[in-house]
Amino acid sequence: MIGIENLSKVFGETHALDNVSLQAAKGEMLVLVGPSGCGKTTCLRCIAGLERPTSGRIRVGERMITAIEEGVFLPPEKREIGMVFQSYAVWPHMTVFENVAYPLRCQGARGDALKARVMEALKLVQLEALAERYSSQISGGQQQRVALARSLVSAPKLLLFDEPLSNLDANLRLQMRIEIKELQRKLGFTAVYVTHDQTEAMAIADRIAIMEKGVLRQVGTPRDIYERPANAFVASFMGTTNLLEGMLAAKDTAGAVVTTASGLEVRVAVAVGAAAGDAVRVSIRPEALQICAAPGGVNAWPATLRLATYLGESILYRADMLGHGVELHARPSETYPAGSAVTLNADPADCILLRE
Amino acid sequence: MTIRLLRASGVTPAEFAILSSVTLLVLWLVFYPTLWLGWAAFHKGAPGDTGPWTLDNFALLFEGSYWRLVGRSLYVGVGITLVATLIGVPLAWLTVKTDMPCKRLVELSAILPFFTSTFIGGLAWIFLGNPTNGLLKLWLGLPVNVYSMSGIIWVTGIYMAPYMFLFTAAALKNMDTTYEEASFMCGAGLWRTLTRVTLPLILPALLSGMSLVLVISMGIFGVAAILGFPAKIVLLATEIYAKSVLTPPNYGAATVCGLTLMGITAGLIVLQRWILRSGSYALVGGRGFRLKLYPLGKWTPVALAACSVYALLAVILPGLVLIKTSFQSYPTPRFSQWTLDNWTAFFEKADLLQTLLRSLYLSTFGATFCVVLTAVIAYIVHRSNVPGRRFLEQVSVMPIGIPGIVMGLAMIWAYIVWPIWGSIWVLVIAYMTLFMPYGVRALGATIVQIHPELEESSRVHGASWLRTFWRVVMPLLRPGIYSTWILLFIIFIREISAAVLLTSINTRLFPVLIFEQWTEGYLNVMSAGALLLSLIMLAVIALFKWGFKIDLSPAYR
Ligand SMILES: Nc1ncnc2c1ncn2[C@@H]1O[C@H](COP(=O)(O)OP(=O)(O)O)[C@@H](O)[C@H]1O
Ligand SMILES: [Mg+2]
Repeated sequence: MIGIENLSKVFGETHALDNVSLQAAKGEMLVLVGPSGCGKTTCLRCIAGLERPTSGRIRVGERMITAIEEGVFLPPEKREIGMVFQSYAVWPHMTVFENVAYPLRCQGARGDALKARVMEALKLVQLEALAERYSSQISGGQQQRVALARSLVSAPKLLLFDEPLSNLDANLRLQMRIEIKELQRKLGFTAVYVTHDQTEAMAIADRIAIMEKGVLRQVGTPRDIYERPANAFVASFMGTTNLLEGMLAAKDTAGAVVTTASGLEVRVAVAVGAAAGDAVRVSIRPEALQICAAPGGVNAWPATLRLATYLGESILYRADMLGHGVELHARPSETYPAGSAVTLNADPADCILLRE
Repeated sequence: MTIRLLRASGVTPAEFAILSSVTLLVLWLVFYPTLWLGWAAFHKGAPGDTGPWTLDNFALLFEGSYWRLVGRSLYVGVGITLVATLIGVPLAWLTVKTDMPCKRLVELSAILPFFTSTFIGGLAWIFLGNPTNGLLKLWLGLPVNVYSMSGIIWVTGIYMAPYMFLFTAAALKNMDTTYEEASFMCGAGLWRTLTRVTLPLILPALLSGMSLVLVISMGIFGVAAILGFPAKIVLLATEIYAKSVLTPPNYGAATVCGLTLMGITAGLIVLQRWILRSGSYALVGGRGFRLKLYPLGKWTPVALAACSVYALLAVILPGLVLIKTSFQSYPTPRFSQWTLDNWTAFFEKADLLQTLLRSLYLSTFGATFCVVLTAVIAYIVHRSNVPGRRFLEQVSVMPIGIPGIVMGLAMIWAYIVWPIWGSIWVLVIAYMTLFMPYGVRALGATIVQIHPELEESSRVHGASWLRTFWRVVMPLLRPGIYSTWILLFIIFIREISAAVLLTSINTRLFPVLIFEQWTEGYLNVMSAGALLLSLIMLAVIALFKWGFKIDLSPAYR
């Protein structure tokens, strides 16, 4: 549905986008996620036509909307793309109705047909009752809905969201993200959704694209990204993780063994593409580390528990494992005093080998 | 009772003393002369020698010619406002919102006339646009005649355009660009976005600017006199002058004209407040660097040409023609009769030099007093919670609605029996009163930008109120204070409307001297004077901007 090829954008010295290529299928929710300043908004604005990329091509459906090398650059109003802005951009001098009617008026719609379509869009976001209000007379959450209705009303094939929920309070954010997801199921539009919040990304995405400093680091389903991160940046950005640096000591049929500088041996189940002698890192999620009773066995390491934080559903321990500081989640019933010597254990399938 | 009220609002006696003395001073400045004007309208006689109570002065109101005068003044005021808007708004849009090249130059040419004045511009246009040997006619064959209503409207309009430019540019810069981007994303083109989104959003700012321009234009004296008198076109402002200066003076009629003019301008301000109050909305400021510039493409040369025409008509041609004339011995379109006499006159004749020094002196001290007063007012208004601060603000900005010439007339009635009459202090008082609003606005805008927590954290860390003011507020306020001072200095040194009636041989000011050269027909000396005045203003601005590295923008924002 949308295809981005080798998109780059340079602002003076800053490479806001560096050769980004991305696709999203029809009806898919593609979430762009990354730390603040990594170029997500720039990418979205290039798709919208609000920013002219330095190079690259963007196609929506069969239509080439940007191809800098060929001199193609459609102005935003010709692209037929809906967009929800971070600040909502609900025009304060128009009523809710007029805001939502605007895209239709641009297409020349008038009279009852217009009214019916506007009311239908307002109904989708449950705002029929507020049609005659001005933006100063409705809450932030309602303005968000107006912006949503306005971007939906002309039934665009592609919708862009730039951190649409970041100005809402926590409860409303959870509710709205479910509503957006449901609207998408119902109406079947394709969406590119930008957020810096990794939990929001996980919850709403069909596929996630993670960016760092203008570069795409990994694209995949939320499960892929969480369970099989491609690199240390992705592993630590999507949730917390323990990273152990070491060297690939040996490869065998059951995977490989990584040795750290302090002599810790970690067995990993998958070691594709790495060879013995490579400098690598191993990512172990806090919930993959367990406290076990007896020493011995594969991936069983002696450790000293340092600090316990009671979190309700679990206890978070910070532990010292041969000089490596690690975090792990234990069941609330497993209470140990600080300073206890224990054995920690992790399934080799949960120990992810990272090559960068 | 009062004490209890004060305690409840947490005001200390010292603060109360400051507040009440400042309020009394402001009340005095604004109401003492204007109330005198009202009183004078109902009495026979002249200032200092008033006769018995009478209604005769109002007989004027039953003459058709008087209402034609009022109508003419309104017509000219509205005309000027339209010209200024039609020039200033597109210019602002081009410089703020598009990728037009040479923006700094365009901005400069749009701001320079703001710092010089309509009066100097009008003087230059005498040579450009007079119907017999104006350069535009002789060189380009254009049938222009500045000695006409449309001449007054046009010349004043191009010099009022900077106000509209500044108001519009500020509004466009402050507007969140996503409002426009959202419109593009909805499928609207440039024209629809401009008319349905951009213009309605900046409309409040636009209306404020237009009403300010209208109020100023209604009271404008200098241009109206030099372009109007030769064609026997009289407007309210020049009628006040004529009635009080020409023999025999008719102060009663002048006073009624003054009250009419003030009534109109005050009414306009009330109207503006009322329009802006209903259906007003605060514009959320956008994030600066996303300011997207609209590509002009093939329209770039057209836009640049339009801007150049403005620069040519408002700055370059008038400047050049003044330079040329100031070096010639009589007004001539030809390039001959060169002389230095006009310039040496200013430095050889003692009274000319004295006048210049007096103007500098008045502007320096007057601007200083005015900045101190308005800084205190702005601080009280924006940073205290004493009861009565809103009232103080409202009174302090009232003089916006008092035209300079009316103020001059009122000052005559009010102060003629005072010992300071005939001294420069009458002018200092008049100027401070008239231009207080500019200081209150500019400094208020600076103060509201200082986050209150900066002050509060100083208090929390043990500094007294005074120490906080001195060590935290003042340093943060300093840029605003400097730029406001310059603005006031410039306004003071070029002001003519309030001065023409208050001037005597001992208190003659430089712009009045230039005006007298015009009255007496010494047009070449007048050109030299006008240039000298512009050069002084430009030198002061350049000194502060590049010498002391002071950002001047807070003053006119
Ligand atoms: N108009 C601009 N001019 C200069 N630099 C910009 C501009 N827009 C974005 N940038 C820079 O590009 C980088 C990416 O910005 P952005 O796309 O807004 O990041 P994100 O949305 O991921 O927080 C940042 O370093 C930002 O400072
Ligand atoms: Mg962003």
